[in-house]
Amino acid sequence: MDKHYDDEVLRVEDLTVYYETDEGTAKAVNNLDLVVRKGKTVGLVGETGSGKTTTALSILRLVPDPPGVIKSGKVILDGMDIYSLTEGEMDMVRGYHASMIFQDPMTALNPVMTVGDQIAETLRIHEGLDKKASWEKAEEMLKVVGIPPERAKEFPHQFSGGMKQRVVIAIALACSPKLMIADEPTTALDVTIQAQVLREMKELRDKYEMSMIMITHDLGIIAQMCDEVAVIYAGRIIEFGELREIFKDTKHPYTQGLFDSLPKINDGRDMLQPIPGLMPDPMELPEGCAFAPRCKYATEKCNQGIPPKHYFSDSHYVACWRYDEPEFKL
Amino acid sequence: MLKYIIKRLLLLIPVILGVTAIVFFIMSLAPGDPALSILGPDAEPEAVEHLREELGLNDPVIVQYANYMWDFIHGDLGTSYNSGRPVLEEYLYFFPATFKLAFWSMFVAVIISIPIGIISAVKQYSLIDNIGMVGALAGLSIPNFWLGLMLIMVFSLNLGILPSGGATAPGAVILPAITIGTGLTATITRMMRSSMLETIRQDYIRTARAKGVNSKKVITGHALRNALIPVVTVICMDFGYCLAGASTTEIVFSWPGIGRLTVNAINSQDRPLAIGCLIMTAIAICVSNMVMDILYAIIDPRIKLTGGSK
Amino acid sequence: MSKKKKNQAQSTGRKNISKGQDIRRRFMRNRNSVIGLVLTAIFVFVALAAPILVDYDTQVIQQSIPDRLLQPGENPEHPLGTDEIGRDVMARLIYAAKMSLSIGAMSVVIAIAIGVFIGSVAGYFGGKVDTVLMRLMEVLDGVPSFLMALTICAALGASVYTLMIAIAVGSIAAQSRMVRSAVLTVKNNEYVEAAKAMGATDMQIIFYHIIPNCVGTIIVQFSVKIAGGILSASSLSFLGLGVQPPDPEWGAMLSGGRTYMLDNPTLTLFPGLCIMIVILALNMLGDGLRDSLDPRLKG
Repeated sequence: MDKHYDDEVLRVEDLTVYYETDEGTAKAVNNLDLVVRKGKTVGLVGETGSGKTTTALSILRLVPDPPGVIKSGKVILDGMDIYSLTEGEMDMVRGYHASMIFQDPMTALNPVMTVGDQIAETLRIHEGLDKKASWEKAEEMLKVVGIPPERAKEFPHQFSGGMKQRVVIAIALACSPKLMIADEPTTALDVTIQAQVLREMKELRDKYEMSMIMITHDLGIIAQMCDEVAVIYAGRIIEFGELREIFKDTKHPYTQGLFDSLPKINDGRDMLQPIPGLMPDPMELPEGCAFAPRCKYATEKCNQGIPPKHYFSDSHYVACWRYDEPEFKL
Repeated sequence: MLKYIIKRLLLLIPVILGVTAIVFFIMSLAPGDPALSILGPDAEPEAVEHLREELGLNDPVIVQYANYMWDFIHGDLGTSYNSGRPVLEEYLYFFPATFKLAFWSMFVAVIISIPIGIISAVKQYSLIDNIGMVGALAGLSIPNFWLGLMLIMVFSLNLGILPSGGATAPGAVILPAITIGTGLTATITRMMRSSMLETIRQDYIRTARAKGVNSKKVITGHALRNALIPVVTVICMDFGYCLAGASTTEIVFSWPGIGRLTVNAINSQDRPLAIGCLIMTAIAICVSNMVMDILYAIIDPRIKLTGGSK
Repeated sequence: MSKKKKNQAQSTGRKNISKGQDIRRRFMRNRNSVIGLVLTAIFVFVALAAPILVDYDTQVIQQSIPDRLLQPGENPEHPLGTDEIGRDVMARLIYAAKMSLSIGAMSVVIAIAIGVFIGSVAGYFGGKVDTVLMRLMEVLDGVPSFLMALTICAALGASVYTLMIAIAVGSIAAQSRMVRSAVLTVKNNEYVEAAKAMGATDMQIIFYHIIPNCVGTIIVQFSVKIAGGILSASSLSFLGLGVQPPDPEWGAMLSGGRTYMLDNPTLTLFPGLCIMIVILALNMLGDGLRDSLDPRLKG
């Protein structure tokens, strides 16, 4: 369990989420702990299939059920125990206390509703505004994300990808939530548009003093946007720390592997070093450290039981057996 | 819009030409002499020959076809051999009954299938879903003529509460409408369910949930309109086919509609009437497809009516 | 991570299940499709064995006025009773299964053969060929398939063979269009490009590369369309334009039984039930095949 802070916006404890299908049970998230403090942005880095999105969806109780089952865990959002709320109460939490931006803006908007309506709907639900007032506020929100307000009457197909993502951001921001979860918000966009959208998100985050969870597999985005980083592997956080600690004082072999597989311009090496092997099948996770089969430091012990957390500072921990040995260094 | 409708109607021309050509060709293969069957077996050979000449039956098929098209352009679909009345008049006389039957059948089908389809999708694998889907499969598999007969057996012959045929008695439309409606209900329910299932898995539904739209409203407010788009296609297409007249059902219930008229015309080699009915049917189907496209453009803002085929 | 991604991850990662095994497993897990398969198999067996199970001359068509209109169970020799001229209903039902299934199957074979040809040519060559062929199909579609079949039967004279052709003609347009769209999706795949680069002729590409890849779609169509074919055949026979007496056919038997509906309701009940069950079985089988061959389409 993570340390308690006074300014926690989100606390996730011991979260375990399985997808139970006829083919077997996929252990998507396993005993995951995470804390997000006020005004901070936590980056959640991991490969495709590591449980990033499932974690995010669990926070808003949007894991598709069936097949998704939340096996254990507690989520405290803005002081509320999310898993003890009724469905109706939960509807009032989503979009108001916490909102989410999804990966693909091309499909994230309802094709048969005007974008203005889609923004206004949130305001009508949470702020109790009437039709006219919510529409005006929706136009204002469009202005905030850099879209001319008169385009509110248009439909999503009349917008470009980057514009659509801005609309999605406007929807998420409409009620100035405490926490914004961004699930790879720029993956589907062109590189130039990516940079623009990210810059805007950063500005808006600071303006609205939001906390944020930034889900990505792009370490560049992490470096640009985040205060803290959680590295997730096979549904567990294997290393957590402040941005500087993760980047300058990498502890987990997997994190190191992520950095090694990035091109470095000033390094002179012309070969990237990919991590050998594939992430284990979430239906057949190994008994010990899930990374052990791919880890060049792995020992016998790594296959026997889940590695405990080793703290290097108040904020920085790693889940790796090898740090039981005091002299171990990457 | 008007431009679109005109364009659409112009596209009908090759279809009408083709349909007439096909029907003309097929019918010309038929053995037997229409003139002989009009005058009866005891007619004088001279009289038969005279009539053949008068009806143009001695001309080559291609000339008959050209003559027919010439008359068609002038709004003349010929005269029925059987009744001696103009074909168009005959068609329009029977059309209202078919339209009435099509309307009520579709009404029954839509009222039942849309809600069941939605519930089945939203509560997938629930009891309602299972019953609904087995029912839909069964409904899809019942032959109309048999269902009609069974309904007559139960409600007319045994219980005696509903008329077994004709169109004049009060409530006469109920049994035939249920008969045709059953198949329609099955098709539309299945379509509605699969379309809704597809829709509720879309990202924008998740977006809506994430902004706090509750689970009921996300269905009625966000999913339904999207899910209805393919269902409207099926409804319009099926309605078009209903306007062709449900032959077997109309015959079972002695319903004075286009289906029975067409079958009788084809059966009795009443060539002008048969061809006329088939052409009018093609037009009716085309018009209902046009209505479908217009409805499409209303439901789906992505579609603009520009004319031309898809 | 979405469920879709998860499924992909599974099929790449674990146990090397072959595609065939995977399809079989998905099919067998669906209760409805297994029921459909079993029922279809029973009907096919009865149809194939009909000439052995019953004797055509003495049981199916021989009239016996003294035994007419026996109720089911009245005479152990005729377990399902007799019709208006004393023929055994059970024997006729069995023989009719052969009729219905062969008409259904043959009409679909004809329609699919023509449809595969037209559809693959139109889809593969595209351009003007495509436009012309598809316009032709539009014309064919202008007449509802049932009325088209009716017209053909009326003109060519009712017989089993006319019936097969008539029903086939009615579904050529739909088949062609379906094959065409399948071809269009396959056509732009890289292996077709590769085959072209290696000098394969158009016909070779169509037959060796494109058609085998549309097989899934065609198989699904097969069972669903046979159901449609049987339904059309029985409707036409019901109208007197299909199978001619004294040959038994469910639709025709039903039509014959109408007159005696009040006293001998089983004469209309049994043939109707047969039609319904066989169509239901084929539809269930078709649904199951569709879901297991192409899980993306699953409803």
